[in-house]
Amino acid sequence: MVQSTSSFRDSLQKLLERSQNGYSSCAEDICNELKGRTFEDIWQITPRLSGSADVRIIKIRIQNSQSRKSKSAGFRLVVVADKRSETVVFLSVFPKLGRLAKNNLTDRELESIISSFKTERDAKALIPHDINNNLQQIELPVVGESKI
Amino acid sequence: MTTFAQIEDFKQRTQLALDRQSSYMVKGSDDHLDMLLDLKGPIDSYIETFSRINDELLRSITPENVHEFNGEQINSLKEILEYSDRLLTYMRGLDLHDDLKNCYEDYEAEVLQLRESIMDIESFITNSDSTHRLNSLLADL
Repeated sequence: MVQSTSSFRDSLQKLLERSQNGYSSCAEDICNELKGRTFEDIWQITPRLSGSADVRIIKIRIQNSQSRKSKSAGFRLVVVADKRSETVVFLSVFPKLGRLAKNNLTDRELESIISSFKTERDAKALIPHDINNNLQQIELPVVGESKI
Repeated sequence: MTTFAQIEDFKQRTQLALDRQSSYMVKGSDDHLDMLLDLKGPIDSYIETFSRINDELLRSITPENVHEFNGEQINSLKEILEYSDRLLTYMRGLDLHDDLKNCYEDYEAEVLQLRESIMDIESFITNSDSTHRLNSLLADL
């Protein structure tokens, strides 16, 4: 299952805001990179920024299909992969080139997004996404609500 | 794991390219465009090697493997980065046509990737307060 934190959704929103920045394919590019991959495939991706036996922080290189350049020049998607629940949670995304380019996340930024992840996970505030449908948010049924 | 020999070899190749830069051309000369186009093949092959080195480095950046990097290797990577930055500065000053502009951008992307990998490796192996805080956060997950 794929979920996201609010910091990921904010970072994605910023990239999608202005099409002239050249990042408007970001959500679609993330889907194309991850579609069809098993949890185990994602678990093995490097570089891994940190991790334990059950949890890994992984940086996934995503090609920007708009620029037609290599993955080195694309986006970086930082995720936490949890082996116990086979869940992948998107923490942040940033481009390597262009107006909003970043070279890397600082240690402090990484700490901050992991901290937010923990808070949102404990509060059950992570949002699930459909990887086959442009990262569309999946509405979860409210507990106790009957569905036809 | 990227071998030290591969890194050293690539470092020498980068240094050579940097040493040769002044003899490549005089900007504005009749031979300028021809020489630039002649360079496209070697530059493409150089970028391909750079990309391969970067891919191998990426595979090595894991908590289990990263400690195999020794100080000498990291210094060599930093030297490659330094030479590459100088080459980029030099290329930026040239009157590049479309084909070579693409070469420049591809090269810049590989240089950025190397810089990012060095940062990732260093953040693993420095025993900073931040690394400790990160590890304790992860232990809690």
